[in-house]
Amino acid sequence: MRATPGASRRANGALALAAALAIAAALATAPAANAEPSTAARAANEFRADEFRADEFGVDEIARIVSHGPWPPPPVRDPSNRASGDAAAIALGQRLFSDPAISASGSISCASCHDPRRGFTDGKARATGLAAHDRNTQGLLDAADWRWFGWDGGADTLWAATLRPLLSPQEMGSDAARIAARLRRDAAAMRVIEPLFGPEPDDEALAVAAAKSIAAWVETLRSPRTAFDAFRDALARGDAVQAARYPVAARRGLKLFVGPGNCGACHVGPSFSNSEFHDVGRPFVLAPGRVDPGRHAGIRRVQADRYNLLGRFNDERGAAPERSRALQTRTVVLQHRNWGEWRTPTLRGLRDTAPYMHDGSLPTLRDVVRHYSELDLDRLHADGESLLRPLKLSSSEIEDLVAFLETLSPSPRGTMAGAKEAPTR
Amino acid sequence: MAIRVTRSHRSHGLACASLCGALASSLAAGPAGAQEAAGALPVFDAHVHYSHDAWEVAPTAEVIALMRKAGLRSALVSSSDDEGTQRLFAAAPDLVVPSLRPYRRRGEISTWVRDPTIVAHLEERLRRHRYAAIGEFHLYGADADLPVPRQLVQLAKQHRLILHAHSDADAVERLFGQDPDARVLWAHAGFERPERVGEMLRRHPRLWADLAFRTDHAPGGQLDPAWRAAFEAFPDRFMVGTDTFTPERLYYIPEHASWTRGWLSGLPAPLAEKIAWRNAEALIAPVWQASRERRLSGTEAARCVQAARAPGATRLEAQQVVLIYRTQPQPIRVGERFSVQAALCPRAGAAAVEGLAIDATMPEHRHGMNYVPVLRADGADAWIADGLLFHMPGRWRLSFDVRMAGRSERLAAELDVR
Repeated sequence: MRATPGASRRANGALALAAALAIAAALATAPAANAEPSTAARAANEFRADEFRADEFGVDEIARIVSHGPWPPPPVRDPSNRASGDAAAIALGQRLFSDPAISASGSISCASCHDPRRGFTDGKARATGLAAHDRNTQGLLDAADWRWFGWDGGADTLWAATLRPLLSPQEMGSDAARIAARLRRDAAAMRVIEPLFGPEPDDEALAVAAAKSIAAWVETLRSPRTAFDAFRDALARGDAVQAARYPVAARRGLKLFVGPGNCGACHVGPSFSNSEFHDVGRPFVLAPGRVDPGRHAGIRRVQADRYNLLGRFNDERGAAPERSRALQTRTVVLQHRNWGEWRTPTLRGLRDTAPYMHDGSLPTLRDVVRHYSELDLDRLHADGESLLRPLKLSSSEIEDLVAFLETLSPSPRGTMAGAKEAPTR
Repeated sequence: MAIRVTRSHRSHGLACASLCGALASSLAAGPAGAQEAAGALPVFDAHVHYSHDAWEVAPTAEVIALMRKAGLRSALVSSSDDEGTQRLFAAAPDLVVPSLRPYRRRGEISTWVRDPTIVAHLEERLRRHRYAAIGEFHLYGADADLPVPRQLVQLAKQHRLILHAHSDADAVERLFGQDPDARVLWAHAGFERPERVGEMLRRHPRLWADLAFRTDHAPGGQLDPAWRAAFEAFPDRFMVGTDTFTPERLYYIPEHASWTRGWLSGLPAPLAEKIAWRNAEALIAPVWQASRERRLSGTEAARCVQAARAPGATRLEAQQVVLIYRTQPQPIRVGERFSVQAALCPRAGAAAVEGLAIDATMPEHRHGMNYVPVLRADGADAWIADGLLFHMPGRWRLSFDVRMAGRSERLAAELDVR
């Protein structure tokens, strides 16, 4: 909480901030689970300058901050998955998620790598299923918002991304017959599946049904609200008292995030991800003589996948071609720049999902920020991602950015301690 | 006690230059030829880098294997620093055509244009090695008229090398303004629209374009109509390249060659062949061959004559080369260090000089010097040896072993030292 000297300055600052917020709120058009306050309500809650420094954020900055909410977004259903939103299928999916019987060894399940206590990751640099994996385990929270799945976007639906590790020899090593046998022994499961997927489904249809059921549950997993969300809503509402509770270091970090860092160019919207692919200058050599091609391989994989949105297992019916989900898979184009690109990860819940990047090569958030601070431009094509420039942050700025990122996790510790939720109206 | 400087291409370059008529014929006999026999369309990859941070990730032999796997007929390679290019060239002289970047390390892309030390770097490398081109360099707009880029253009002119320019159209215009006879390979076709590329090719008959790191000419593997029109309008001016700007991208070379064959299959076979390799070979191979067989230019010959006229200069002659040397100080005194300046002048029709070794012995005493002098380049085919010392009075034999076309020729002078 900072005080600004002088009554007139306070008044001017308050007016300026109120005007900025009005513009910013007008720009925030995302549908909200928690409805945005009306203009009248915002006016009634005009900031008190002695609670929150009026000139701390400019109009553009506030608009950018407000664009990262509200949170959580309303539930979404996946039209390609007939189990999406079905309560029985969701319950079945939750059960199968932790069921090792669907793996080849009978010893591992989805939850073996996607541990809910770790934000549905495993804490390892690179995953280990039945064999060593080349990539870091991604968290599953907020997966309903994604357009592509996996670091390389090798799947175009959450259910296809679920089926892949089930069948991958590296991960769970299962096959359709094994999964089908497991389900056929489970009368309760069949009572859920047959009404949805038809009577007496064959092995492959049952394996797809299992994946779709698991996906139906995963898409209900939402990151909890955070100190940032409370601050963001306070800005949108014009509530200086609540805004002032957001830690000062996090506010400085947020200012870097939406300002010179321009991080929101890729980490967009409430889920802090554009669900697209970028080369951010991280190496992608797996071992001498072996590289991970990233998105380049992902596009090839999704195009060749019999379970993609262009295949017969897509449940979306009746949508105009230009509005169907399959459009993304029909129109995606392989480009040279895709070699070594990775999906933009969410920034929510990072406290629980270390280590970071596609290969888990950065142990801490501080390392991630340092990477962007000292970005090696020579690793990027001269006519490639012009957005990326070394931020050249001071040590205190690095700490501020980390402080901000930590407020995107629902931690009772650290920078979250002083933050309180305020009801949105 | 000998000191020796050798050029890394000695074992391959000159031998090939003398044995092979054209680069194409030498390449057809190599492993790339096997690919052709197997039916795959050969590819001349005109845009490969192998910079210092790639050597560990992708060892030289592995990079060559990737090129072979890709069915490359040839590859124009430039690196930061140049050592990577020389490593690849030494490993596969039938496949690799060196180009000289004005970068000593990665990170000089945006600073080189105002760094006068770059010129010395280029001159030093041009003395030591042979190249087909200078580039790929990054140069935009009015920066092309800064002193350092101007000197780069003049070096290319002097050595009759291609300019591989990652530039906008403005900078390309300025390059031709400095040397209307330049041959410019426009990296990435300037990332310009095909219509604009066509305008530039029409305006500049000595401009070629590589399509590296572009997919807009064949989105989804299908030819774009506007680009197709450009290819048909200028069938002899386009070529392809991977652009391995990070170490990992070296592993993309086979994938890129395969992708290239895919979109080229939408063109008539003669045009596809031109873009895949014939255009690159038609531009690069003659320059490369001439560079490898480079004789003394008029300027260099004049410098050799000038060296012979210097006070105290001594002329030594052998079958393939004339050597002019002088000592500093002179006369040589017992127990005092001295230097030797040597200029080599290959005779007309002789191969280029690959290396020089200097030694001194006392034949009657059956021993040589007690010190190993330091040899440094002093311009094209010229060296200075520092730190020689005759520690005893008497007759000394100062010998020069000149390596040309894989063989040594010895020249010697007898000196009576008191």
